[in-house]
Amino acid sequence: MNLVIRSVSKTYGNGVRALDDVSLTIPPGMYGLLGPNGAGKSTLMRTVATLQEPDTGTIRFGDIDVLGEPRRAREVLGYLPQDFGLHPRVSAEAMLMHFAALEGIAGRSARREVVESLLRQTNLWDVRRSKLGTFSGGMRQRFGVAVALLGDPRLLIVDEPTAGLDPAERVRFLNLLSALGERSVVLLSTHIVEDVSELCTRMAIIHEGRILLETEPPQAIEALAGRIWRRTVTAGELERLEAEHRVISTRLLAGRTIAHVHADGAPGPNFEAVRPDLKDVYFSAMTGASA
Amino acid sequence: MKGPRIDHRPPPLWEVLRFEVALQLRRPSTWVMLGLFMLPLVGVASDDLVDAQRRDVFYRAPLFAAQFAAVMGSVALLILASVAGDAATRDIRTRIEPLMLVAPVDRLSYVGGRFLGALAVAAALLAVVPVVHLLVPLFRPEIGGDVLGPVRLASYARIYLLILLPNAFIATALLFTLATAVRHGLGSWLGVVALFVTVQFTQSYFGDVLGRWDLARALDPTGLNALDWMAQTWSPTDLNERSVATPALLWNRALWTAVAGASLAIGVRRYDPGRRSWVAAWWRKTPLARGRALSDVKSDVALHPRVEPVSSPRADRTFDLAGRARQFAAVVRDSLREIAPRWTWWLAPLLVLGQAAITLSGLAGAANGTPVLPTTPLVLGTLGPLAGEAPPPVVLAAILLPILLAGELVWRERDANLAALIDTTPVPNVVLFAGKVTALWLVLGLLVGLLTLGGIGAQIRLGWSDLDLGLYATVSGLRMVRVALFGLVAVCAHVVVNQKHLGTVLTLLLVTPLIGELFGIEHPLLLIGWSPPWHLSTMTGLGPWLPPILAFDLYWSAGALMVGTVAHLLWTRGATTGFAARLHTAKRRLHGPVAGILAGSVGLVVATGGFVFYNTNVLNTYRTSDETAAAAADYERRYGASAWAPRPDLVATDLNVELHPDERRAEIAGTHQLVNRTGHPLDTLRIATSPNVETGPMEFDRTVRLALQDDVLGHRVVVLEPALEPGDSLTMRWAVTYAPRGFSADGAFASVVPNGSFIVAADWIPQVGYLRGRELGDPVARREHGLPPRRPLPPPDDPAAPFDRYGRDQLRLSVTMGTAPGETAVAPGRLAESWSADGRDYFRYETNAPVGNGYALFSADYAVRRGRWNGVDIEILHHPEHTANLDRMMRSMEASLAQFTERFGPFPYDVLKMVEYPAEGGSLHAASATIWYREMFSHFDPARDPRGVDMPFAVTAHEVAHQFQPTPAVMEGAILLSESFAWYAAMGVIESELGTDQLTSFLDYMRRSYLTPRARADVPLVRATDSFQGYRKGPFAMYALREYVGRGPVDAAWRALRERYDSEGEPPYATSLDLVRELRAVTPDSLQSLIGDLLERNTYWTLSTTAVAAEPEADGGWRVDLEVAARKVVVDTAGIETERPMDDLVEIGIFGDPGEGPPAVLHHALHRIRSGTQTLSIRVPVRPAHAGIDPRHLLLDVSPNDNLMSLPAASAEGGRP
Repeated sequence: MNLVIRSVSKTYGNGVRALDDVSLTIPPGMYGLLGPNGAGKSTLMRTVATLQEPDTGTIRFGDIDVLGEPRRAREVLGYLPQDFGLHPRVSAEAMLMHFAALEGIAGRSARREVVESLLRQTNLWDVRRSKLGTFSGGMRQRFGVAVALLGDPRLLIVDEPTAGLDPAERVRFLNLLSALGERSVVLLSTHIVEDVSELCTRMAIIHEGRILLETEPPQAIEALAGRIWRRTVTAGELERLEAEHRVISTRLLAGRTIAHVHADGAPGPNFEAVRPDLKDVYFSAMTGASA
Repeated sequence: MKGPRIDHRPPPLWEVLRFEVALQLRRPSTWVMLGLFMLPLVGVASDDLVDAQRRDVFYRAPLFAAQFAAVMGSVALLILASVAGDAATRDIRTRIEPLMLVAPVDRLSYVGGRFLGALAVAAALLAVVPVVHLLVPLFRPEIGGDVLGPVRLASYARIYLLILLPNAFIATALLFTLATAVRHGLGSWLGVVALFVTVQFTQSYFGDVLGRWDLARALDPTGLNALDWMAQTWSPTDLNERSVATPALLWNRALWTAVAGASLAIGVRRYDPGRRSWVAAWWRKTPLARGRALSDVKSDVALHPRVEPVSSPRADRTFDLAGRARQFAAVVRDSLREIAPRWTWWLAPLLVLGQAAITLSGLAGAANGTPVLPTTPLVLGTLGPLAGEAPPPVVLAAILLPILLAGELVWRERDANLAALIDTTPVPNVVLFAGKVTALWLVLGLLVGLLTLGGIGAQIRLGWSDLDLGLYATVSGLRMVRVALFGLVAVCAHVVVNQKHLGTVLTLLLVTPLIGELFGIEHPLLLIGWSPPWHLSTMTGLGPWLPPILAFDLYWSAGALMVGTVAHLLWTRGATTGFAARLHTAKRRLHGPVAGILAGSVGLVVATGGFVFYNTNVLNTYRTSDETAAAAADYERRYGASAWAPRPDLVATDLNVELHPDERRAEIAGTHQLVNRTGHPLDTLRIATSPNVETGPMEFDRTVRLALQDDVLGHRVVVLEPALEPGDSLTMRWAVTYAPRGFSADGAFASVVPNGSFIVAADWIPQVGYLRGRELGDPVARREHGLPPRRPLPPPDDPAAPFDRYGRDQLRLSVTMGTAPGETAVAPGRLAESWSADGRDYFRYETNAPVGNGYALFSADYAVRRGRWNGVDIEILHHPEHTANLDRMMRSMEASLAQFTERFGPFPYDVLKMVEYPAEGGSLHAASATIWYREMFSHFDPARDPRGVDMPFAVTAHEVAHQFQPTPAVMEGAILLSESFAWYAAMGVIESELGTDQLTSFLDYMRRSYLTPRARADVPLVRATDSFQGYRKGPFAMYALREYVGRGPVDAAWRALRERYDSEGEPPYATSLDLVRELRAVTPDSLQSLIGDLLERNTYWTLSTTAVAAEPEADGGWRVDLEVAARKVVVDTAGIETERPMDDLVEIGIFGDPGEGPPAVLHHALHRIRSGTQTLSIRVPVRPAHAGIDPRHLLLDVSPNDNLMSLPAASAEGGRP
C-alpha cells in the first residue's frame, strides 16, 4: 500500500505558502522528509495525519481517501508529533490503556497484552506505574512511539522525532523506528541529515513548500560522485569563491573555512575531490544545484 | 564573530510591568470581556436611573453611586480572575518559564512586575465603572435633572479611590497569589468563588444570624456590607449629601488591603519558578498524601539498549457500536480524571455534612426564625430553589464551579498539549463530545446526589423517620434535568467560543437572567432553562404542576440536543481552530445520521416549543409585563373617572359553586343584593368582571340597559332606568366559568385541583364599581404609560377618607358548593346542610352576621378538629396528616375567643374556622369568621424553638384578634389599628395562658428585629404604613402604654373604638387619630405626653445608668445611689433630630441577687426623669445586685444594653456595668 500525495497546496492566513503543489508517492518502508526549519515539513505531516486540511490536492493511502474519510484514515494511522505533552499525573500504563481503548482494541485483556508488549518494547515496562510527569525527554518520546504503534498502524507519521534527544536516546529511538519500516509506510520528517542517511530507503527534500528532490539516498549520492570539491579558504577569499563557483556549504575548522563546491569538473587548483555524502546531496539541492 | 554589545543590567521591574500590560492589552479576550462587562454596567446603571425616580434619593447620591461601584466591582471579579490568572500562569502554560528562569531577572521584578501589570489592567478596567455611571444619564434625556442630583466629581474620585481601586488591588492580589500558589489559572477562579462565598457568609451569618453587623461590615472583602449598612441607616438627607468615607468603610478597606498585601508578599516569597506549586509541595508533606507522591524524574540507565525488531502487537479492533461504547467509556473515564481526581473524594463527606448543616439551620429558622419539622418537602426546600428561569445571583458561586469544570474538560487535551495524539485516534468527535458531557453530568449528578444525601442525613439526625424517598428521587430528578442542561450549555459555549475565559464568561451570561433583563426578553421560551413556578405540597402533590414542567423540560432537552449537535460539529479537531474554518468543516461533517439527528432535534424543538407556545400564547393570552402595565393604565384612563363615583353597597351574596377538581374547572352562579345608601338616586351601576374567568350576561330584577361591556379590561356599565332611589335595593344574577386551557406563561393553573382547591372569591366574581386595586402602583410605570402620579394615601387627619366605603362592604353570605366526592367544600359560616347528588358532594353554608368581601372558598379531603366556646363552633380543617399543632391552635382559639370577648366586646359569628390550603410558606390570613393558613404553618416546631416561644399559639391568637379589631379607614396609620392591635391583643392571651415568661420570651423575639440596621428617620406611628412599624414598633408602643397606664384602660379604649366605628360596617371608619383620642380619654394627665411620644412623634430615648452604689443602713436595709443619664430626641422623615426637654416618668428597677430563681424585685417604680445626668437615692430592704433605668425597655432606646448595672457582690462600693 502506497501513500500517494497529489498536488497538495496550503497557504496560511498570513500569506505564507507552506505547501506548494507537493506530490509524492511513498512506498512501504522508511521514507525521510528532509528540510530546514519552516520548509513545510510539519504542515505536510499534519495534513497526512488528518489534523489539517490543504487548500487543494488529494492524499490517498491504499483505497483510503485520507482527506475525505479522515475517520478511516485514523484507523490505520499512527502519529508521533514533533512536540506533545502528556497528563503529568497519570501513569504510563493508565495513559496507554486509555489510548488502546480509543484505538478500538476490543477486550480488556487484549488491551492489557498490547500495552504490556509495547511498554516492554519501548523499554518502559519498569516505569509503567510512574506518573508521566516524571519522564525524561527520551522516555516521553518512546512513550509517544508506543502510542503511535497502538493498533498496528499501516501508516506511521513521525515528525522530527530526534530533536532534543541525547546521542544514546537517539540511537535507541532510530533502532525502534527502523524495525517498524518493514511492514508499514513510515514517513519521517527531520532536519538532521544523519537520521535519513542511517534509516531511510527513500527520501525527499522539501524547501519553502516545494519538493526539491525525491530519490533514494545511495542513488543521490552516486549521482553526485565526482562533482563535489573541497577547498580551504580564508574569510576574505570566501566572497570571491562564492562569486565564481557554486558553493553549497561551508564550515569552520580550526579558524579556517572549508567550502564545498559543486562542479562537473575540477574547478581549479587547490580544490580536492570529495566523496559526496547525503549532506552534500542536501546542500546541493538546497542551493539549487542539479543533482 | 562580533555581536552587539549587551548591557547586562537586569531589566527593571518597570520593563516586566510594561510587557505584561502590553500582553494583556493584546489578548483579544481582554477586549471582548470588557465589551461583555459593558452589558451589566450599562444595564444596572440604567436600572438605577429608573429606580431613582421611585425614591427620594438622587441617582448620583454619593452612597448609591458607591454601591453601584461596589456591585460592579464584584461583577468585574469574573474578568479580574482571568486577568490575574493569566498574568500568574501564562509562562507556566506556554512553557516559557524555563527561559525566564535563566533570564537575569530577580524574583521580585519577575513576579512583582507581572502582578503590577495585572493590577494596572484591573485598575483601568474598574475606572470604566464611574465613567459609565456618569455617562448613562446622557442617553436617557427623558429622565430629568431632579432625579439625577448634582455632578460631584470629587465624590466620584472618592468612590474610585475608596471602593474600586482598593477592590482592584484586593482582588488582583488574592487571585494572583492563588493562581501562582497552585500554578494553574483555576486557582484564581476558585478565589472568585471564595470571595463570593465570603460576602454572602459575612452578611448572612455575622449580620442576620449573630446580629454582629460591625463584623459583617469589617470582614466583607468588597465593602458591600458596609455600604448596605449605610444605605439602611442613613436618613434621606445623609443619602443625598454625605460622603461614604466613614470609619466603617475606611477600616474595612484598610483591613482588606493589608490582608491582600500580606497574601501577595507570601505569594511572591514562596514563588518558586519552575517547580511544582508550593501548595502541592506542602500537601505532599501532609500525612494524607504520604505514599502518593510523584517520584522524582526517572533516569534511564540502560545506555546500551537492546536492538530487537519492534512490532506492533496485533489485536482485534472493532469500530462497531460496541467499539464506540468502549471508546466512550474511555473518554468518560479519562474526563473524570480531570474533573474528579481521586483527592476530590475527600470533598464528598464534606459536601454531605455541609449540606446537612445548611439544611439543619434552614429548618431551624424556616419561618422568620421559627423551627419547622423536617418533613421531606421542607427539607427539599433547603436544597435550593425549585424553579425560576435560572439560578439567582446568590448561588452564582455554586454554579461557577460546573462552568469551570466544563472549561477544563473541553480544554483537557489542548491544555496538556496532547491534542494531536488524541485527534489522530479513530474516535469520532461525537464520542469525545458525548463522553466529556457525560463525565460532567456524572459529577454534577453526584453533586446533586450528595446534597440530597445531606438533606436526608439532617432529616434522620432530627429523628424524622418518614422519609419520602420517592419524592426525593422525583425532585432531585427534576433538578438534575436543569443542572444537566446547564452543564451542557457550558460545554457547548466553551466548544463554540473556543477561548477558555471567554467561554466561562459567556456561559455565565447565558445562564443568569442578565441578558434577558437587559434586552427585555420575557417570554419563557427564550430564557434558557426557565421552569414554571411550582411548590411542594403534601396536599396536592406534584400532579397539578407537572404538565408544564415536563413540557418545558422536553423543550429544553430538545434544544440541548440541537445545540449539542451543532456544538459537536464545531468541535475543534486538529489544527483548524478559526471559527470560519470550523464552520466550513462542520458543514462537511453534517451528513448522514448527524444531519438526521440535527433535523430531528430541530423538529423536536419546533414541536415542543410550538406546544408550549400554543399553550402560553394561543390557548392563553400572553402579555409582557409592559403590556400588562399598559392594560392597567388603559383601565385607569378609560374608567378611572368613576373611581370615586357613588355606588350601591353590596349587602348580600348567594353563591352556587360547582367545583370539578379532577377537570380543573369550576362554575359559580350567584346573586348580589345591592342597596343604595348614598342618599341620592343612582342611575349608573359599574361592575368589575375578572380576567381570570369568563363572566356571562347579568340579569337584574328591574329594567336596565347595558351601556358598556369591556371583557378585555373587565368593566361593565349598566344604566338603571329608572334610577335606584335612596334606600332601594336591587338584585343582580350572574354566572362565571373557570375553565383554564393548558398552561400559561406563568405556569400551571392550580386554583381548582384535587385535594387543594383555593379561591379568593373576589378574584373571580363580579365586584361593584371601579377597582382601584387594579391601578398601576409603580411611579415609574405610571410615568412611562402617561399617567399622573398616584393619589397618595390620605393622612390620618383627612376628613373625607374615613367615609370612603371602598373595600369595606359587609354582606350576608350563603354558599352552596358542590365538589368531587370525598372532598369537603368549605366557605364562611355555619354548615346548614350537606348532601350527595349526581355522584357529587354538596355543602350549604350560611353566615349569621355580615362578613367582609375578602372571603375564600376551599375544597379538599379535610379532617376536622372541633371545639366549642360559648355557643361558637370552632373548627380546624386540615390535611389529615398535618396534626402536630392542632392542640396548640385549638387551645389558642378557645382562649383567645374567651379573653377577647371580655376585653374588646362580642364575637359576632357562630362559627370560627381555620382552614389549611396548599401554598408555599407558613403565613396566615384572617378574614371574617375564617382564618386560612399555608401548609408550613402545620409544621412549626415550637419544641425546638430556642427562643422558647410557642409561635403556633401566638400567631393563632394574633389572627383571632383580627376578628375583634375596629374597621380601619383606608389611610395612613391603618396598620396600627389592624396588625399592631392584633399583637397587642395576643400578648394578653400569651401572658394568661402560657405565663409571663413566655410573654417575656415573645417580646425578646419581637425586639430582635431592632437589631437589623434601620434608619431612624421615619413618620410617627399614627402615620405608619410599613410592616416594621405595624408588626413591631406599634405593638411595643401599645405594650409600653399598657405597662404605664394599665391593661384595663387601654383595652377599654380599644373597645370603645370598636363599638363606635364598627356598627354594621357603616362609615365613618376608625382612624389612628381616633385611637389616640380614645387612649387619651383613659390616660391620666401625668402620662398624656407619653402618648404623644409613642404615637404622634417619632421619639427616641437615650437612657443609661452611669453609676450605682449601695450602702447598708443601720436598720439592715440598703441605700442605693443611682446615677442615670437621659435624653430624648424626635426624628423627622428627613432624619433631622430635635432634642426635646425630657421630664418623663421612667421605670427604675432594683433587683436582688438572682441566686437560682428569677431575680427578686426590690424596687420597681416610676420616677420622674429629666434630660441630663441625675442621681436617685432609693432604699431597699436587702442587698441589691442590679439596678438601672427602664429595665423592661418600654421606651424606644437604640442602645438598650446600658440600662442596667451590676453591683459588686462582696463590696458595696461602686458599680460596674
